[in-house]
Amino acid sequence: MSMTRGFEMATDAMRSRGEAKTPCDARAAKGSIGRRLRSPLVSGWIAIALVVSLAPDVALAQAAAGGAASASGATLTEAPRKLIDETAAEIVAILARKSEPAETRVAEIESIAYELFDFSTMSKLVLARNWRKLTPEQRVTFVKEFKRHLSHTYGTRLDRYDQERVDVYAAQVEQRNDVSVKTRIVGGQFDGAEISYRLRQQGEPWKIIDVVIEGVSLVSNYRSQFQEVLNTGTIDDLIAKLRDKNFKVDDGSKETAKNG
Amino acid sequence: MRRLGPLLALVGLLAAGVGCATPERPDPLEKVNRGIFAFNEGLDRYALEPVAKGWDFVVPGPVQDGIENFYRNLNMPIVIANEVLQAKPVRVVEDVARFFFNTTLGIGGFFDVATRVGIPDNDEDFGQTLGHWGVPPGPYLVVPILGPYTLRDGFGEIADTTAGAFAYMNFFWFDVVGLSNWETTGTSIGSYTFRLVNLRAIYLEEIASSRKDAFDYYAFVRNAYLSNRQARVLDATDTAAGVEEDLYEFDEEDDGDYEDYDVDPEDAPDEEGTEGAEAEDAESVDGAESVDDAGIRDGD
Repeated sequence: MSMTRGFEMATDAMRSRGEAKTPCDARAAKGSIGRRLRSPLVSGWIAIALVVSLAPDVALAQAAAGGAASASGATLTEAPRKLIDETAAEIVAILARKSEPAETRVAEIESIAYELFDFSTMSKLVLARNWRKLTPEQRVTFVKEFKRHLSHTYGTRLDRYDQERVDVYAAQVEQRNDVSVKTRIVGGQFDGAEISYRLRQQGEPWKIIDVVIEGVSLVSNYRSQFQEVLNTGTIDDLIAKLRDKNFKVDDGSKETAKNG
Repeated sequence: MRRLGPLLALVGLLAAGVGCATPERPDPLEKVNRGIFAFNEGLDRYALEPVAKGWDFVVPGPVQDGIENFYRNLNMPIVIANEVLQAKPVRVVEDVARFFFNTTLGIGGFFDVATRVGIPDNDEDFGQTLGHWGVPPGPYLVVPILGPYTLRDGFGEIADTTAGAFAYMNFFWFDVVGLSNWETTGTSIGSYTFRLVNLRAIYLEEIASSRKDAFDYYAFVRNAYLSNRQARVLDATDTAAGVEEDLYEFDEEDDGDYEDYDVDPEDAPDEEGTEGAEAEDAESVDGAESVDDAGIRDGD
């Protein structure tokens, strides 16, 4: 969804409510603003002013339209982009404390992951149609084990990289009002690698529902692997496999903790 | 006859696979592929990985990166040719500049100066050129020793390699030194192997942990390869362009069901008993809608 289209929809939604609180809003509501824009600079400032003045209205308009109307691109992407930006800085700071043992840092990153990802939604997307076949108990177990698995792989993998910065360079609104936040790794072995985070807002905070590394989606990748497991086995086999992997991981980290 | 062998094999694969490879079913030759994949894995475990580990032990990381940079720079004329074929003038300019800077200031490509001054690192090959003009990837193929390809990208690789060999070996280097055809072929295979060992050394940790964490390593590699190639064809490695269509669809196409089934399992185990009122609420909702559930199940 492009910014302009989102903006038009937002103004449409406002028009339908028949409200105009500021002169800017009034003009936008009449749809006549485009003709007045001569210089790009002026139009830029007006766009910023509009975005600022619309910000509180957009949420209302969205609620009024039952989520059918999408909000202005810039305002919608602001919060998730900020979240990724701050979290990246937080993680880089943890990684920089090299004097601390790896386990402590991994554990810290894991606890960040717990807050950051929407494991419930990710489990549903990863299992796709198979999700329907799960009993409530299986769902609870699956989400729990998948959460541990993801958090741990996320934590240990990040801990291997330490000289990099993360450049958050763009954000865009996707279908279903999801937002993609695009980042690039600067420096180190994976200089220039593209990592895009897809976020969805279902409760209060925005949460990550997918990580796309160089075009490879984590959700899609796990989905294809789990599908293979389910082709030959049951959902209980899959959960057992997850559990087994997590158990080995826990065991392994305990051992290294003893040795270290 | 020896030259016809691979060609016949390709034609056979084409006949067997290309007709039934679709985006929903990209791997019609899975059984054969899995066999070859297992063979390649064995080869890696007992030959390539140990050698790469030895190489990694002896050669410092920056030197490994330098060697890979050198090979990438050597391939730049092919990249540029493919950008011309895809009618991407901006990238052509960028990569001519990249090739120039890295060959001169970067001492034959060993140092990637271009990236440091902010010239983007584009990546094009003939497989992408074909994809750019609408050729579908065709079936997924695991090639002995060489690894994952699609029919399109395998063909692209042959074209690129041939063009590269033609450009470098016949025109400049080997004619001057006076090597025979066989010696030239031997040298290029040796050169390819050297690059492979060096590259394998760079990714020792990544491949080890991917293998360890994977639930089905074959599927892991296939999915990663196909999505990455698709994203590169679309010049969109920063999105899930390759798989976007159905990936996030689930909740919408099963909307009613999805809501009914949402028991929020994430919080359930931790907060049992502390939310009596909410639990009652949830139960009554479930009760009211279980009829719908049943109806939908019958429908299936």
